[in-house]
Amino acid sequence: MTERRFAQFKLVLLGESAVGKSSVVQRFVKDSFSDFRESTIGAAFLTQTVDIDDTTTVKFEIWDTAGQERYRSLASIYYRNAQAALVVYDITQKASLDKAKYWIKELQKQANSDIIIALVGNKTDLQDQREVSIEEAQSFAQGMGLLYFEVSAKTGQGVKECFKQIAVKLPIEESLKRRRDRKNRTVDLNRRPNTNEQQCSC
Amino acid sequence: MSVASPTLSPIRGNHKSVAVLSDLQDKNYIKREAHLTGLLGKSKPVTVVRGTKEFISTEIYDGEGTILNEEVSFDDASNDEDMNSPGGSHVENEKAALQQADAVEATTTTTTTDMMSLDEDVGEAEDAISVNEDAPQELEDELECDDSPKEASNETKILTEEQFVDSEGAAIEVSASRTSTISLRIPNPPADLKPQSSFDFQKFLSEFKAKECQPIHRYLKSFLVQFGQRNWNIDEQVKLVKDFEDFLLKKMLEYFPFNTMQTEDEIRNCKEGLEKLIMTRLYSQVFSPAVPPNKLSEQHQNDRISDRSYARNVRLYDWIELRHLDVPMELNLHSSFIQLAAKELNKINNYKSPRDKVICILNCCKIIFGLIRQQQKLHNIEENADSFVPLLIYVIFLAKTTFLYSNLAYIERYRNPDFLIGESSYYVSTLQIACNFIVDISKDQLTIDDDEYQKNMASSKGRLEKEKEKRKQQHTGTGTSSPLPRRLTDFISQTSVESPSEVLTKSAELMKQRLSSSLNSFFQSDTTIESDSLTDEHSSRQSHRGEFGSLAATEKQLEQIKQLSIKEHKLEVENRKKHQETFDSLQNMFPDMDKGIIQDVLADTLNSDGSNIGECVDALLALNNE
Repeated sequence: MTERRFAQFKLVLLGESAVGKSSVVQRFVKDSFSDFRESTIGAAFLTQTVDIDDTTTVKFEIWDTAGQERYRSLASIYYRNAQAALVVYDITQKASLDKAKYWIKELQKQANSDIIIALVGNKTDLQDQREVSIEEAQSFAQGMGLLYFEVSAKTGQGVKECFKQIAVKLPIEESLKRRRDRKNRTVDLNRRPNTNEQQCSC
Repeated sequence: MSVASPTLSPIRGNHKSVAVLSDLQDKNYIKREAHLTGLLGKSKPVTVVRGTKEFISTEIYDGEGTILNEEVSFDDASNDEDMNSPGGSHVENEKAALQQADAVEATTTTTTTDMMSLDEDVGEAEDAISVNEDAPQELEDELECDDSPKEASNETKILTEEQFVDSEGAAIEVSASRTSTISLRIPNPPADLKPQSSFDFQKFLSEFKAKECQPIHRYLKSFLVQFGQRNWNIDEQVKLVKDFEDFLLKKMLEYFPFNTMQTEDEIRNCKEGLEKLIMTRLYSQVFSPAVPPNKLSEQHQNDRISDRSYARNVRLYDWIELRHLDVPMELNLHSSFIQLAAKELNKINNYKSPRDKVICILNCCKIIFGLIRQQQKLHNIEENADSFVPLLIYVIFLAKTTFLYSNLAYIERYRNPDFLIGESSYYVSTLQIACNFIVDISKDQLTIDDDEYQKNMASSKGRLEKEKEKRKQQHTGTGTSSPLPRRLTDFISQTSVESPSEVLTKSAELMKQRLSSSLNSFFQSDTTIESDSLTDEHSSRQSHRGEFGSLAATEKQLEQIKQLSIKEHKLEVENRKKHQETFDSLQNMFPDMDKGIIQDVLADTLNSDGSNIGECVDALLALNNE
C-alpha cells in the first residue's frame, strides 16, 4: 500500500449572514465519506479532508467568519495566510451577490495574492425564487478569475464537488514540500551527533 | 467520588510547598521594596506622593481618565482598580498585593480578605518582579523557586488532556474516557494526524535541570542578562527571542537528556518548555503593560494606547445588549454561561506563558459554544461565527479583561508559530477581531436608534463620573493610607530605581561586561563565553547575595512564615468555596438537572483547580440532551 500524502490548507468562509455559508460547510463536513471530526471548541472552526487522487488527501481547515457588516473592517485578521476562500451568496437574494462582490474585492486587496477564491451561489433548491441567474454570476466570476459553483446546502447538491475543485487547484506539491522540510529539520535536529558522553542506547 | 482527581493531589501538594518557598523569597523582596518606600516616605513625603502622581499620569491605560480628558491624578488610578473589580481579578490581586506591601510598610499584619484567593496570582505578579533580579542569580535557584510556571503547568497539563491540537491543527477530542459526552471519534485517524501527548512542564524542567545541561543554563542566563541591558523595540525583542529560542533548542538537543529524544512529541515538549521558561523570565520586559517606563519603546506605547481605548470603551459601552449586535437572543449578564466564560477569559492575566494565555481563551470560547448549543433550539441560532462573535463581544463587556489588547499582541508575537495553528489560531484571531471591534466601537457599528444610544451613553458617562467622584471621596476619607500605584509592576518599576536588587543587578552587569557585549555573539559562537568569567561572576553574586540576606531581618521572615501558614489555610477554604461556586453556577445553568448528577460530574471531571470547567459543561450538556 502506498503511503497517503496529506496537504493542509486554510480556507476562509465569507458572505452575508443569511446566505447559509455555515450550512454549506456543515454539509460538506458531515456528508463526506472520509473521517469527520468534530472540533474541540465549536463549529465555527471545522476541518475536513478531500481525497483528490489515490495517494493524495487535502485537508481543509475551514474558518467561518462573522458576516455582519460591523465586522467588515476587521475581517483581514481572518484572511491572514488563507490559501483559499469560499465567498457565498444566496441565489434568491440579489443583494447578497453585491455583498459577495465586496468580499471578493477585499480579498483581492488584502489576502495572499495567490489565494484561490470560489464564488458560490447557495440555495439551488429554491429555483422558483431565483433572483441571480447563473449567467450573471458566472460572467462576473470569469471576469475576476474566480472559480464558480452553485450548490444547495439543503440537498447537498454540488457541495462536495465544489470543495474538490478547490482542492485540485491548490498548490499541493508546494505545501507537501514545505511540510517535508519542516519534518526534516526536526529529524535533523534529533539526529545531531551527540557531543556528550551520555550517548543514548539506540 | 467526592475527592476530585486523587492523582492530582500530590502534584498540588508539591506545588504548594514550592509556592511557599518562592513566596517567601518574593515577599522578602516586596518587603524590602516597601520598606524602602516607607523610609523615603517618612523623610520626604511630598516627593513620594508627587512621584507617584507623575508616574501614574503616564501609566494609566485602562481607566476612563482619557474620556473626560482631564488631568489624571492618583485618584483616577485607585478608581481604576475598583472599576476592574467585576472581572479584573489580576488587578484586584495586584491591589491586594500592594495592600499587603503597604501593610508591611506600616508594620502591621495584613488581613486582606481576598488575599488567599490570590495566592497564585500574587505569586505570579510578584514573580514579575523577580524576573528583573533573577537574571543574574543562579539558574538552578530560578528553576526551584519559580512558582508561576509550575502552577500554570498543572493547569495546562490537565487542560490538554481535554483538548489536543495535532501538529497540523486538526482538533481531536481525546477525553472520551472521562465523560459520557463526546459525540464523535475519529474512526481511523491517519497516522500522520495522531494526537500529540500533552505538554508536561515539570518533565521539561527536570530534564532541563540535568547537570549535563549546564552549558545551556549559561546560555540562558547570559541571554536573560543581556536582554535586560538594553532597550529594544518590539520587533527587535521578537527577533531576539525567536533567534535565541531556535539557537537554544539546537544546542539543547546536543546535550543529555535532550540528545536522547527520538519522537516528535518529546521535541515538542521541549519546545513548549523552552518557550514557557524564556517567556516567563522575560515577561516584564516584553509584555507591554509590564514594561518599566524607562524601557518603553514607541511600539510598547502603542499597545498601551490601544489598551487604554479598549478599557475606556469596555466601560463606556457596557450597556450593550445582544440585540444591538443582532443576536436574536435575550440573555443578561447574569447568565451563568456568560459569567463563567468571562471568568475564564479573565484568567489570561494570571499567566505569563503564551501557551497558558491561549488556553484561557480557548476555555472561554468553549463555554460560549456550550451556551450556543443550549440555546440553539430556543432561539433560532446556528452554531457558527455569526452567533459566536457577538456573544464573545458580549462576554468581553462583562469580563472587562484588563490589557486584553496587549495580551493578544503578546500571544501573536511570542507563541511559537508551529503551535499557533488551526483551532487555536482561529479563536485567538476571533478574539482579536472582537477586541479590535471594542477598541474602535462607535454608534455606527450598533443596531440602535439615536435616542436609546444617547440615553445609554449619557447614563454610562454619568455613572463613570459618579463612581470616580465616590472613590475620590473615599480616598480622602481614608486619607492616612499612603497612595498606591495601581499595578504591582508599576509599583516595582517605580521603586526599583533605588532597590537593593537593582544595585545588585548593576554590579553583576559590570562583571558581565567581561562577557561578550552583543547578543549576536551567542548566535555566532559558543566559545564567546569564557568559563572563568562565569566563575567570577558567580562568586560575585554569591557575595552579593550574602549582603542581601543580612538586609532581611529574621523577625520579618518569621512574620512571613506566619503569614504563609495563614495563607495556606485560607487557600484550602478558598478552594472549597470555589468548588461550591462552580457547583452553584452549574446548577443555575442546568436547573432541571438532578443535583446529584451535577455533583457526580464535578467529582468525576473537574480537576482540583477548576480549570477544566468547559469539560464539565460539555458533560452536562450531553446529559441534558439525552
